Order: sequence, then C-alpha cells, then structure tokens
Amino acid sequence: MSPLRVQGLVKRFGDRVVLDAVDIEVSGGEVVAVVGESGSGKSTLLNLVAGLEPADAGTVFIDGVEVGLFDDDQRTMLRRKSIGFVFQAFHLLPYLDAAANVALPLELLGWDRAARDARVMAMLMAVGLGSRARSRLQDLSGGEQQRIAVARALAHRPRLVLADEPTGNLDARSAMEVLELMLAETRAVGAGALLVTHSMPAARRCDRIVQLVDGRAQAAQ
Amino acid sequence: MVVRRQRNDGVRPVAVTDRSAWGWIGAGIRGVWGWLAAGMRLLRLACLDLVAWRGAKMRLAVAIGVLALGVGLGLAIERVNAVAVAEFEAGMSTLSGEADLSVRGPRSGFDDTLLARLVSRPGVAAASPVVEGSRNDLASGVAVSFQGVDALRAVAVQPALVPRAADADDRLANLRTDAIFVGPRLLERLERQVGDRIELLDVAGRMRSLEIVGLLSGVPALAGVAVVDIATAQVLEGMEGRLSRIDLRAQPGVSPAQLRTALAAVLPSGVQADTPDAHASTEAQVSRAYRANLSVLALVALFCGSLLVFSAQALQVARRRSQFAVLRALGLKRRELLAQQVLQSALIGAVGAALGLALAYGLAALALLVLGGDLGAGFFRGVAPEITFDLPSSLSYFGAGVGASIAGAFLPSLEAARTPPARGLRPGGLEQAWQPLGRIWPGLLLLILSGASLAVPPRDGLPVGGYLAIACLLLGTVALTPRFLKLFVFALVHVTRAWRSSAVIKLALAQLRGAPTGPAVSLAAIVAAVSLAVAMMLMVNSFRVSFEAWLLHILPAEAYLGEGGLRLSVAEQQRIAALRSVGRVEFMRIDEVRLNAGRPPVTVLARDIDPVDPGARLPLVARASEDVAVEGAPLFGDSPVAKAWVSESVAEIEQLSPGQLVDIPLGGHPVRFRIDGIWRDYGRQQGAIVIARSAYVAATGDSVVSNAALWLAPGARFADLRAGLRWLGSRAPLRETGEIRRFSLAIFDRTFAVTWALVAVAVTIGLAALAGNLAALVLARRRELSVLRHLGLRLGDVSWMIALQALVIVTAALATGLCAGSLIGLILVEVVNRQSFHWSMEMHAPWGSLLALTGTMCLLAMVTGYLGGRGVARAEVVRAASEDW
Repeated sequence: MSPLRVQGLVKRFGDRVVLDAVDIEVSGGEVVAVVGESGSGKSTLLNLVAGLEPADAGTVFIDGVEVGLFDDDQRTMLRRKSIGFVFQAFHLLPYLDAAANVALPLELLGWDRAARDARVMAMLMAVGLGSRARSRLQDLSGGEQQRIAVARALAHRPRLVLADEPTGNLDARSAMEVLELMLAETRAVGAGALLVTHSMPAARRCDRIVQLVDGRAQAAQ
Repeated sequence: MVVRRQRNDGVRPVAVTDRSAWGWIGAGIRGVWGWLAAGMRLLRLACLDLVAWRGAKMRLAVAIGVLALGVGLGLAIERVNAVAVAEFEAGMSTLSGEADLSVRGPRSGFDDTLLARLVSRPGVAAASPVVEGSRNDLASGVAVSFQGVDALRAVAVQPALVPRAADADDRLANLRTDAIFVGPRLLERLERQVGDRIELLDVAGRMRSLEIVGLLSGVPALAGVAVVDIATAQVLEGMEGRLSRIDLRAQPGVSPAQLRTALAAVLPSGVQADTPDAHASTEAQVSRAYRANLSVLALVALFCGSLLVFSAQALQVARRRSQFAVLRALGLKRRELLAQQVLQSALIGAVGAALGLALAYGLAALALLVLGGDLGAGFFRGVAPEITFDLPSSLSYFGAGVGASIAGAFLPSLEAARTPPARGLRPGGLEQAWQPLGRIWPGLLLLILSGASLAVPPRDGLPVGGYLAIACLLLGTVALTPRFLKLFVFALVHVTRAWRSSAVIKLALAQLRGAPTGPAVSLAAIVAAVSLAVAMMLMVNSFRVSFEAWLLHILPAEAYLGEGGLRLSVAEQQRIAALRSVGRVEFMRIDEVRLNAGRPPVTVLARDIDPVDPGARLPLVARASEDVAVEGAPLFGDSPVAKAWVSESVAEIEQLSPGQLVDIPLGGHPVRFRIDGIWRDYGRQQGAIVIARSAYVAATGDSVVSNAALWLAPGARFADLRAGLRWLGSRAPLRETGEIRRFSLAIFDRTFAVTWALVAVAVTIGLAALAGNLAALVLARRRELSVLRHLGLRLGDVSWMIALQALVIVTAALATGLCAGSLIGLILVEVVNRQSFHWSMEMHAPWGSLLALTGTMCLLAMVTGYLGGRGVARAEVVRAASEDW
C-alpha cells in the first residue's frame, strides 16, 4: 500500500484556483520532488496532505486511509504516527536539547524510555551527531540543526515525510549533505517522501519530479 | 564671520570659531534648532512606531487603564484630604478670628478668673472668652456644635462670631440667653428657619429652648456651627465659672511669641497658649498619619501600572527584536532607538495620566459624597468641603503617571537598544533577550536595602523607613521572580520525574524550565498586585481581629450609660447604684489634658479600677515589675503617688515606660503619677491615660462622672434596667454592650472601606494583568505551538499544556506574592502601624480571603491558558510554522 495517494485535489482561495485536480502517488521508499514557481500551490499541497486545512474537492490517502473522513483529533493522531515533517527554518524547540527534540515524537507516541533512548541515539548516530546529543540548539550550526530536524522527522518510522525547502536555509555543501542524509534515511525506513523545493539540483537527486503549473501537477523531465 | 559646522547631524552642537556676540547668537539658534529638529524627528518616529502596538491592543489598554487608575486614585485621595484639611484649618482659624493667641486647657475647661488676669497683662490688647460645646436637638436628634461668646468682647477679636440678627430692631440679640445664631448648613440639617425655636438638653437634663435669631452667613467655615451667648453655653455644658478657651489680640508691636512668653507665668498647669494656626495644624496632625498611609496605598495602583508597562514593553521588545535590529541596521542609532521607545512610553503614560486626571476629580466628588471629607475615618466631623481643581497637584500627578510609564519601560527599552543588530536578526534566542532582566544581584541588593531601611526612624510621625522597606522588598521580589520561577519549575521537574507523567506534562515543564524569564517578566505586575493585596488583607484582618478582642476586653459590663457630654452628680450616681436591677456599677469621668504644647490633647479616663488587678479592665501590654504605689489620695507633697496606666500612643510619644513618674495637669496643678502599665487603646489615636477616679476627684474636687458601666443584678433584665433609668430621660442614652460592639465594628469597617477598595483595585489589576499577559505569552509562542501541532499534539493537548503552564506560572507568582505579601504585612503591622498610630496588634491571616484570592487566580490562569492555547492552536494557526514555506 503506497504511503501517499492524492486524487483530484482541488483548493480555491476566493476565485483563485490554487490546486486544480492534482493527482500524486508516492510509493514506499520513493522520494518525490515538487517544484514550481512561488505561489504555484506547493505549500498548500503540503497543508492539504498533512490535513492542516480542508480541500474543496478530491481525496488524500495516507497509507490507504482517507484523511478527509477524519476529524481534527484523528488527523492529529495520523500526523503523530504516520507523518514526519522537515521545515525550511528547522523549527526545533529551543528549550529542548538535541536528543530531547529527536525524542519528542516518541514521547508523544508513548515509547518506553529504554526503547526511546536507543532509537534517539541510533538516529543521532545516523545523522552524524551522536556526540552532540546533549548540545543546546544555540551551540549547533544551521546544518546541524537541520540534521536534528531530519532525525526528528524519521525517529518514529513514519510512512510519509513531508519536507518543505529543507535545504533552503543552508549553504550549498550543507544542503547537499542534509539532502543525501534525508534521502538515505527515508529510504532506509521505507517511507515515502514529498519534498518541496526551488532547487533543481536538489530535485534531481529525488526519484521523481512533479511540477505544479497553473494548479496542475505535471511530470517534469 | 565664519561659523564652521562640525558633523552637525541635528543633535551635536556646532563649534564656534567666531567669538563675536552675533557668532554666539547664531550658533545658539542653530544649536537649539538642531535639538528641536532631532526631538521632532524622534517624536515622529515614536508616533509611527506606535502602530506596532496594534497587535498588543489589549495589553496596552490594560496598562493605560491601570496608569489612569493609579493617577486617579492618588489624586482623588490627595484632593479629598487637602480640601478637608484646608476647610478644617480654615474653620479653626475663623473661630479664632483676628486672635494672635488662643489659650486652651483641658476638656473640662479652666477657671474663668484667668480672663481677668490675662486682660491685665502688659501686651494684651483684647481678650475674648469662649465656651465650646455640642448638644443634640431634641426634635431632630441633630448634633448642634456651638461657640459661646461674650459679644461685647468678641467684637474686638472674633467679629465673625458676632453676627447681626435677622430682625434689625433686635440689637441685643447677641446678648440674649435664649438666642442662637445658626450656620446655613446646620440650619438645613435641622430643617428649621430663622425665627423657629430649637430645644437642647443641658448636662443636667433640663430642656433649654432657643430662638434662631439669625444666620452665620458669608463665612463658609461657620456654615456647620452655631453661636450662643457665653452664659447659655456654660449652662448647657455645666461649665458655670469655667471657660474652654480665651482668644487674645496682642498690642501693636508685640509679637505672638513675645506675648506667649509674657503669659507663661500666669497660665495654670495644663493650660497653654498657642497661635490659632499652630493649634489648627496640631489638631489636623492627628489625622496626618492616616492620610499619609491612605495616599501611599493609593500609589499602589500607579506602581502596578508602572510594572504593567514594564511587562508590556518587555514582551513587545522581545517580540520586535528583529524589527529593532533591522532599524539599527538601517542606521537608527542606539540612543535614538532608546529615546524613541522611552518617548513612546511617555506618550502612553500621558494618555493614562490624562484619563487619570478626569477620573480623579470624579472619584474625589464621589468619595466626598459617600464617605465624607475624612474618607470614613471620623477625624473631621462637621466638615463638608467641596472639590476644587488644583493645578500644581494635578500637574504633579500627571507627571507621576508619565514618570511611572517611563520607569516601567526604561529597562526593556535599554535592552532593545543594547542588543547588537546581528544578534537581533538571528531567529530564536528570545530567552537570551530577556536574560539581563533575570539577573540576581539587583533583587538581592534591593532585599538587603529593604532590611536596612527598617532601621530608619520615623520622620515627623511618618514611617519613612517602613515605606522604603516595603518599596525595596516589592521591587526586590519582582526582580527575583525569574529565579523563583526557575527554582519552582526545577523542583517540579524533579518531583514529576519520579512519576510516569504524560508527554504533555513533561513538555509543559521542559518549556518553562528552558525559558522561564519571559513568563516571569510578564508576572511582575501580578506578583506586585498579589503581594500588596495579601499585605493589606493581612494588616486589616489582623487589626480587625485584634480590635474585636480589644472590644471584648474593654467592654466587660452588660450595659453602658453616657454619650456626648453627660454629667452625673454624686446623688445621681448613688441613685443609679441603688437600683434593684443593677448588680454592679463602675463610673468613669472623661477629660482631656495637654501634656505638652504643640501636641494634641490626651484623654484622661478617671475610672473605678482595681489598682492591684488593672488587667481585668485594661488590655495591658506591659506592666511595672515592682508594686510600690498606693491607690487613691492624698497625692501632693511627699505622699505616695497613685498609679496611672498609659496607652501605647502616650508611652511612645511621651517616651514613657512602666515604673516612671509622670506629671498630669489636673485641676490646674501638675499631679504626679507612677506609670504602672501600658495598655492597648484603639479608641483614641492621640493617646489616653487611665487613673483611679478617686485620684481625679482628689486632684480636681470634681466628682461628676460622664459614663457608667452597668452589670445586671441576678435575675434582672435589660428592660428592667431601662425602666429603672427612665428618670434620666434622653440625656443619658443606655446601650447594650452587644450594640456598642456592633456599632464600633461598623465604624471600623467604614474606616477601612477605602483600604478594602484599594485591595479590590490591586486584585483587579492582578487579574487583568494575569489574563492579558498569559494571552500575550501564548501568542508569542504561536510558531512553537504550531510545530507541536505538526508533530501530532492534539488541540486539547496543546490547550491543557498551556493551561498547566499557566497554573505553574501563577502558582509560582502566588507563592512569591504570598511570601512577599506576608513580609510586607508584617512591616505594615510592626513598623508602619506602630510608627504611624502607635498601636500594636497580633497577626491574624485571613485564610478564607487568601484561599479565595489564590483559588480565583489559579482558576483564571487555567481558563485563560486553556482558551488562549486553544485559540492559538486552532487548525488555521497551525500554518504558523509554514509561514516561511
């Protein structure tokens, strides 16, 4: 069962049609890049997929479950269990250290302490920050913070990772490192990923590219 | 002429190379113009920047409202006090007319032969004797305060007391013993007209009918009093052959001081000469401490307003950190940013202060209407002042409002200006921005200063040290609040670690532990308001409980006889004692004596008392260790001295302690007493001395009494007692003890009505600050909450997390406020009260009220937190984290 299937998704803001019958499917272990001009509806697509705002028409299936049939609490639980997020501005919680940030989704899922600690350490090792587990965020560079964010997004083994410009705030070298890491880890947990980006080099590293033009999704070369 | 400009950017003065006068003038004009231009630019910037408050309208409105309340309350109380004291003093001065000196003695008066001796002294141009008194009108029950004057003598000294009769033909009206002149306000209260008659009972219970022959018009200070012939006044008061005062005019070239020195030798003991103004201010002094305390309490709201501005500005600065950094990067200088923010606070303060001025005059008029000129304390009976606009005091309170706002905003503004633009432009780091406000040493220093201030002695009877200690303690506590919160959260984290607590609880505590300064900064006003409310509740409750206990001790009998100017002769005393319904009776004579010139008179209570066991009647707080005195007379020469028990006020003001000897002027002679003990007296602020009635009679020869305490005989009822005393008529009201207690407690509550109103204001400010600041804190965390929603925290989880955090924050604030408030309450009871009123009392916590206060605040915190969290975490706001997508 594919982690994400979007069918005929429509979203309007007033008279303006932002997404017009968008169809996308992401298989397990597949990373799909979404590209498009500013205002083409990339962010709206992520919001609709995550169940953060309602669609005007169409359906979103995550791991075979139709999101649109859920109420707010059920959508939240779906995000908690099945989705991992990576933001452009990292959005780590400043009052938690690196390990506690990674552990947060596991805490919410009620993992016991031993399993949680082991998973957190494994994720930190995987992103190359095993020695910085107790570091405060202000002591970490932008690249390191985004690695922590990737570890947090994948710690609970989600079925789907939603990443929006995960390399937008990083220099070219860090960007490529983080991207490679994210692709590798996503594939390692067997999750599907939808990656919104402006960067064509980054998009080309993904398995497939979808371009949003006038609200419609087109396969890009 | 060459004037060289040196980098004149509108702020720096120009350098002058041309030393001619024109050169200096030109440079001066340019310099002033430069400063003006810079000022205008800053003002423009400050006004433009005000738009930034759009997102914090509620907080701004609450801060402005509280500033207005502070200015309004402070100025209203100042105005009421000022006009009441002014009218009281004007009234006293008017009564003495053109007198240079007033000779006054004890309440029972002094021998009228003194008049002849004074008139014959060199330096005296004219003398006018006066008998003061007050009797109730039989028909209306209204108290008629009167001045009995000798019209022929008064013309030369107090012409205002010799008015013309309404009937122009009645030229001798001022000398008629059945005539009375009445002030217009008193006439209105009596509901009579000129030509009507009023009936007054004299001290012997005989009815005296007086015709209202004229009005005391044209002199506002006399509007509430009456004037009668001196002989009439003496009969009414039972003061035949005695006078209350003699007003004197000095001969040209003789100063009041010279005249006083010249008269000192002929004045009997306990009779003193003073200028009318000095006497008026001495009388007004009695209420000074009460007025000062009330004014200080009124400033509480202003102080809280200042802290609210501080919180609002601190939150604003933290929120706009990056905006300030951009402004600095674009070229706004550090001091310009500081000036802009301070100027903005001044504008906010000006709006609050202007509203406060309008509020003040409305509140003052309302307070006069509801509570009277003494704000319920009973100091200025008969005074009915009107509120007038006063520019200097209005301007000073306006300045105080603006100053409070600037003081509140200064630290956060300074921090905003000091932050390097590079740091300000970096995302996050809010806690870092607040860190300087969480330093520990200013708070510790203030607490040390607070302790040291307690050693400062009172100045002019005002507890300056106590006020200073309270201010430092309050500021120190506010400064240390971030530390207290950090400690509290640290303890909670460790306690909850042992439990298997949910992720929501862990997350809530982790957030507070990681970023405690922001919430603590926003708690400043809440902590201050709670501290002050707790302190005032503690003080008033301690006083009330102690007052109730005092009433129980001081009123042991079942009924009391006597009110106003009752006089009971020996025969009447015997008749009362012989009544079948009376099991036991103790008589008391009340008099007033002056122990020292320039100080208000002290009450002498000459009563039947067991000198071996005075504690049975008096609530003693100290007693002489050895018992050497012998009760009763004789009292002169080398004979054994009688005992006296002085109230705490007398002991402190006159520096007396048990075992010491004191001379009390009685019957025109100094009579020596040994102080056997000090007792607590909440009834007479200027002090009281209890002596045995036998000693009073021996010294004065006057065995008339003014009060009687009555115990019922076995089987007798109160109705039997009332029936047995019917022969006394209405001149001696009989009251049950329970009724007196209820009445006294009602007066107590009326006196503290304003204090309770101020407590209510402090609590309201606390609640408003709580709601406003919690909402602001939640809004400031919008993005963080959004991330948590992305990670799978349900709406309910977020709401409960914020509610829990609000509860933790407010519990810490309440704990801090309760501790600080208890200490402030202790200072109020042990330092401020003792130094202001010389009263001691036991501490009694108002547990019920405290529980209600803490419960309300906790509940409000949770509700505000829950609703705030719910509002912010709603689905559409979840997008906050995606704002940079």
